[in-house]
Amino acid sequence: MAMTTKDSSTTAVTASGVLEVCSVRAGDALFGVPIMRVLEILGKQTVQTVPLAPAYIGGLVHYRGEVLTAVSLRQLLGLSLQDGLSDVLVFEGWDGYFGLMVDAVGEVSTVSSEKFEANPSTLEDRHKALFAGTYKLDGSLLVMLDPDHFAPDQLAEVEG
Amino acid sequence: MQASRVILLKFLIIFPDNLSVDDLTREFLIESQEGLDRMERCLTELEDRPDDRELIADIFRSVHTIKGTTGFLGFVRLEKLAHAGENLLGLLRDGRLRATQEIISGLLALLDGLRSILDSIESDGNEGGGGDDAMIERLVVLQQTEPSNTSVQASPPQKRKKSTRKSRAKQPPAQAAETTAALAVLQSLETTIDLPANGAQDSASGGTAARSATADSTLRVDIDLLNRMMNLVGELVLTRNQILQATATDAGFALLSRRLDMVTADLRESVMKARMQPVSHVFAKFPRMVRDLSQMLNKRVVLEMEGQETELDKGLLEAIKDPLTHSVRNAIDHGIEMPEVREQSGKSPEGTLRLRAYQEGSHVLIEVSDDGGGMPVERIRDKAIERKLISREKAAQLSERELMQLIFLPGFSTAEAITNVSGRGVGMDVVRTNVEKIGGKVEIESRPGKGTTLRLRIPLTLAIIPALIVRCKSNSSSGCLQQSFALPQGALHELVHLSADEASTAIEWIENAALYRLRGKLLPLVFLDSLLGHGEGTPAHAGRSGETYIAVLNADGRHYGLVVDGLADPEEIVVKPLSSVLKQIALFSGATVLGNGEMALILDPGAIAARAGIRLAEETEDVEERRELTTGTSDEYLLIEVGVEQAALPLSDVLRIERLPRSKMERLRGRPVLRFEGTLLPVEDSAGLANGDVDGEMTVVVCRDGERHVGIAVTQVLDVAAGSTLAEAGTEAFAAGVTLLKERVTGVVNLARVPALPPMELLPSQFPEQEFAEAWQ
Repeated sequence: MAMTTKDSSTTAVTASGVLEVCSVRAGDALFGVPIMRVLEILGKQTVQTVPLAPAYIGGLVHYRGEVLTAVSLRQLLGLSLQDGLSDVLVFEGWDGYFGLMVDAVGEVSTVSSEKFEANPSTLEDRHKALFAGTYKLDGSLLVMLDPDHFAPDQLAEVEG
Repeated sequence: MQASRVILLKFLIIFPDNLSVDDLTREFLIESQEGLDRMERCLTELEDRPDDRELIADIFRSVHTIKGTTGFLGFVRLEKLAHAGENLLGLLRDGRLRATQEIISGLLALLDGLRSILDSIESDGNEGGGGDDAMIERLVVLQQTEPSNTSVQASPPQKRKKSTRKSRAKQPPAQAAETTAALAVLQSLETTIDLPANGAQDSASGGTAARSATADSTLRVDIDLLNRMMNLVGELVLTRNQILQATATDAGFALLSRRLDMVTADLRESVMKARMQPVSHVFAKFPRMVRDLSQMLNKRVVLEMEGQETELDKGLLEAIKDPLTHSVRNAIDHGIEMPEVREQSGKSPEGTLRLRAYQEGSHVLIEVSDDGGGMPVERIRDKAIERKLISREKAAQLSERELMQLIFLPGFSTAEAITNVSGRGVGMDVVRTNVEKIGGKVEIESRPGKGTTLRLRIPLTLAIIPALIVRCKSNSSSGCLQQSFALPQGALHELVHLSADEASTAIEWIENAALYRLRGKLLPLVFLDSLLGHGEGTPAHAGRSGETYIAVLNADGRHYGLVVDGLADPEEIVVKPLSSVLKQIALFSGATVLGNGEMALILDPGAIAARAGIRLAEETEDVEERRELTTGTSDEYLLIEVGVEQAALPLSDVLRIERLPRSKMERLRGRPVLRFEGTLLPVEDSAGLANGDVDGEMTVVVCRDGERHVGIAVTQVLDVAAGSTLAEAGTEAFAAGVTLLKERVTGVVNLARVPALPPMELLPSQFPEQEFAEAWQ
């Protein structure tokens, strides 16, 4: 299911040459996720930590009567966990809905496929799996994240 | 032909695309299944009242409706079979045949035939292969079992038989020819049964009219939609809670918020109610099953059903279907004896199987009881040893009640040979697993020669469970935070509170194992914070500071205390599933959103016990605990010490144990009384315990005596134990007021003898109204 969606979004890029990207911030870095995959953005959420959970799990988020598992982008990148409120993006994965905790959600921008470049070969292996490539913006780089790669169940396989 | 073309045309106009046709088929399937269920019920009733025209007409309508619709949808095989049944039923309805045992069996077989075709349509969209000729033949033969007089109508059945025979003879075994042959039969039948068919039309339309009245007031709703509604209501409840908090200070909003509050509560209740179904949906198939089974086993069984209107969540109802079927099957196969055996032991040759459903608090209880031979304890033990489920030494130590529990072990069966009724060793363990999966419990009671009762205790709804919210310190990087967890009430036995001073001394240690003396027995303790990986680095017994609570839990027979830092109110929580990653932690059974909007993980008491290794250390306790549990609620006692004497209180009457400062004890006209949240409690204090040191504390056991509550002042509470009755020497009568507790004769406190409060009219009449009211607050 998710694979087909991903394929179609990739083809959408090649066909039209542009992609709408929602930018998110974690630490000092700027990341992007395809806006079409984002179901909802929950601002300033209290995230309930789960004892004994793998490090990349930020905790539980309340989303429309459901309790979602949220992945912490900071933890994935090896940054220290931030206390207090976080912005959470909601995605749909194989195993149902899940959240991505980020420091802040930025604006939605349109990027052109001409500016796209694949991951550099020097990137760490675990980041290679996480990042889907980079858009060269004026003055900065926008690293793309693939929701299919940071879904909790996918991470469980990769991170063990 | 003309007519069918018109129908076809209409069909095309109304249902232009395939999707609608699928919808139509599904609708047809649901309706037919319901019709067949009704038919099954009526047929088993018909056995007792073979001349009941109403019943026959009802059965006829069911079959007729199926036949009518199948022709429309083009299910030839189904139509053919239904048609054959209709012919036979037509004769019954017109009184030209009598509903004999043979005919009813034939009709039941027809029912199964129809059902299997419907199943096939449901699973792969077509009627499936296989012929029904044998079945049709059987029905045709049945039509002649009692040919009626010499009336004109007598000929059609014979003619029909001939034509069927002929077409059968013509028909080669190959499947290809079957369709044409079937059509030929169909046509030949059509010509012969014109008359009854017309009659059928009339009665059928009458039936539709009667039914449409109820149909108008009900509506079929997709279960997914209901689930979605349930989720939305949950969301609404949480939003409401937040609104209530946000608007608490604004007077203008207060009224609106309150209204929102009320509407939300009502809505939630209505949606939950919409998911409820009466247990008769499950019970309905048992008359047939009991009939078939008892005939097969040559037993005579009467089925009694009670409380069919008791309602249960649809999901749960589905979940108990199989366990209940197993239980009924067991009761007939193993429980009820053969008629000769019953007569020898002075019982009626007819065995009674009782199905009873009733609600008790937040649970629905379903009992399957038989008046058979009871469970042969010796045989159960021998079989369990033979199948290596238990060692001989261990078995010798078990009491009868414990031995009975062995039937719930996987792989247990006492059947000598494997029959198709039972004996495959998958039975009671499946019953227990399935019931426990939905948060229920299975209890068994059996008396030799008198019978066996199996009791399934099912929670009212699956999604909402009562839970106690406990708090646990968690040292996150920002300092000490309290995190809430939900502890299901089902496993919770009692709570022990330790004040800050007590906590350091009351918990004792053997190496790294913490223990607490609970009424003289050592209870292993599990610290929630260290279990969850908090407070690492500091050894747990380096001393606990602050108030501590011990939740005494019993999970799958494992008895232990869970130490937590704080308690919040009990709450009805909506269980939400966890993602697979979090399920792997295996300590939490789900998550929930609390009333204050906070999220809480639901603790799994069984998994915690397993993680803490409770089982191995507590094997003996485990057995003892189970014995105490199964000894029944009626003869369990709270052993108390009053002054120098010991006495027993029936545990079922004990509400709670209060420890309070002696100064709280007041006197009303010389009688000690206690005030509790606006209620007055008369206290029986035979040992004068209230007269001690005013600054000291005393213990009062609050008991129930009928409608009223009374308190018993005690020196201390000793234990909970199972008592057994004693017969007075030389008589059969049980000695009243005493019981054998822990091998000691102990007097039972007669709660009814605790004097009531002084009656109102005895109070001085000049008692000012104000004060009077206060005295009675």
